[in-house]
Amino acid sequence: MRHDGGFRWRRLALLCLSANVAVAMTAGPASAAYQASVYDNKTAFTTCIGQSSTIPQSMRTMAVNAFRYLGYTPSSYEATGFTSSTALSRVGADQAFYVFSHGDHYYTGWGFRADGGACNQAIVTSGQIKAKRLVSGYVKSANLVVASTCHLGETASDFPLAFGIDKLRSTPTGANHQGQRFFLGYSGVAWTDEMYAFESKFWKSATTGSNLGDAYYYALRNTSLLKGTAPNWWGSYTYAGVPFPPTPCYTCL
Amino acid sequence: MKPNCHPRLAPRPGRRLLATLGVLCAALVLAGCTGASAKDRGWTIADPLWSPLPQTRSQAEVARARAVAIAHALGIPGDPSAVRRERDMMYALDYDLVEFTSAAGDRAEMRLDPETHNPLSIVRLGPPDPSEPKTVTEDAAPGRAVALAAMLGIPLPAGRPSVRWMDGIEGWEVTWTRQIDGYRVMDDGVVIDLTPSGRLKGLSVWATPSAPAPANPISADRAAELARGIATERGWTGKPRYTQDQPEMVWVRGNNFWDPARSDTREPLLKLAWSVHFSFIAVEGDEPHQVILWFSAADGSILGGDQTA
Repeated sequence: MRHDGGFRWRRLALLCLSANVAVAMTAGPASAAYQASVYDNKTAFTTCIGQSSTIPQSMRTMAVNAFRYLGYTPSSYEATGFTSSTALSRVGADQAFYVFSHGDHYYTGWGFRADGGACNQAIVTSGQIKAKRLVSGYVKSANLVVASTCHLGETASDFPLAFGIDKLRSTPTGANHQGQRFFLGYSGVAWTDEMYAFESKFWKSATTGSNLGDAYYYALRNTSLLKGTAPNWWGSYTYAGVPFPPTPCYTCL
Repeated sequence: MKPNCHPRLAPRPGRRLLATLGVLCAALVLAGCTGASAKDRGWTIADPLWSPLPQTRSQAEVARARAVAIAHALGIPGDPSAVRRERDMMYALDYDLVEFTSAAGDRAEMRLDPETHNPLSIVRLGPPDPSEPKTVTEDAAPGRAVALAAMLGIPLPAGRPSVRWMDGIEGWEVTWTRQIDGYRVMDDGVVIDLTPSGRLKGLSVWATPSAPAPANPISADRAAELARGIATERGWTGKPRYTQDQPEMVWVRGNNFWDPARSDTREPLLKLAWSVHFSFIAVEGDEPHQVILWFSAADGSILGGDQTA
């Protein structure tokens, strides 16, 4: 009599392997070609206020996981690893970009604070970023940029332009469609716990089949933002966030 | 019986490895499918954001009928999906979800309270239409929102709503903050989004159940004293442009702002608290950083809070 116990084990192992491969494949398209950078200013929200917080790391983790799912190759930085020189050395090649930090219209322009591990933090400005993405006559567009900061999503902010994303929103008729470009930021003062709740829902929706515009509005109306946090977006509503080669933005100069 | 009929009695290294893999695989499947860990320790970002809940056929039928009636009243086109009962793990909020999809591609999502069948949120998906005439002014937006809420049977909190133009929806956002016994509820209220011509774009209703108010709440002076103690301990008082506002009695839903070891799930019940707002320069050269802390009105313990980005 032939016993197939070994066969059953092999079959179980194969089934398990197949299931895991299937899970890995459904986790999103894989590509090593599209660089993404994720930064969180942990020091500003912990050391500089004398209180620990899990929010900076959670924000970073969510963005890394989402970028990876969408098909980017993310690298992430915080504390002493998140310096202005690190950000500026990478930003020219970033097709996706995420920063959780302080942001404002500083005397040097719109920008955000790099961490650096101390409370005298350098500012990274939109002008510096644009210079890194500037090609003769145009700005090289990123696909997906999230400025998880105060102010950088305001109408007056030129931060999206630095990444080659014009401050236009695509319409139901397809007007203003900007291809594979989407910017998410916040108008005015944003509260971190509300941002965390909002972005949890935004990323969850964006990584479960929704386009980025739908993900924005789903998250907006299913998050309590009564302290006044106001997320804003520009770009193509129907864009799903997956990477594409950069395209020129001639109106972003 | 031949020995090879008892593979467990004659283990081979390969079988041990496969057995280990099998156990690991089973553990992965269980961890991924049951969500038991999220139940045990509350929700974190590693867990699913929503979880399916059981629902009887009659419950689903009631929810579906209500959703269809709301869609009809609002002119939301399309056929309703099957009803799904789910729990929002972050807010510990149960709802019945119905999605509408039309042949023309219009889509909407409706989340209904499983008990009252009133909307908790309505989301009309799709990009905003800038060609829609802006016939509703800022002054007229609250009246239009009141009319829509009345039509849907949504009770509105007392008081004047705030109105702001939301760039992201290219429409008006009208917000009522909930009050209980005259005290503001920090994160509860009704938000109604209007398109420029006054159609409903979406809405949210936040009405968290509340714990009883303490019989003898601590005084505002005591809350201010506690707040000052925290500010001194954390070094805020020595920072440039330090300010501490007078405590305000509010209802809050505790969070893990002051105790990051706790889960990210919001506390299930509102509690009465003294909210104290602080402001100081945290990062050199930056605008003043804002922090709010909620001191329990019952015993002065910190229930949570938030800080600006």
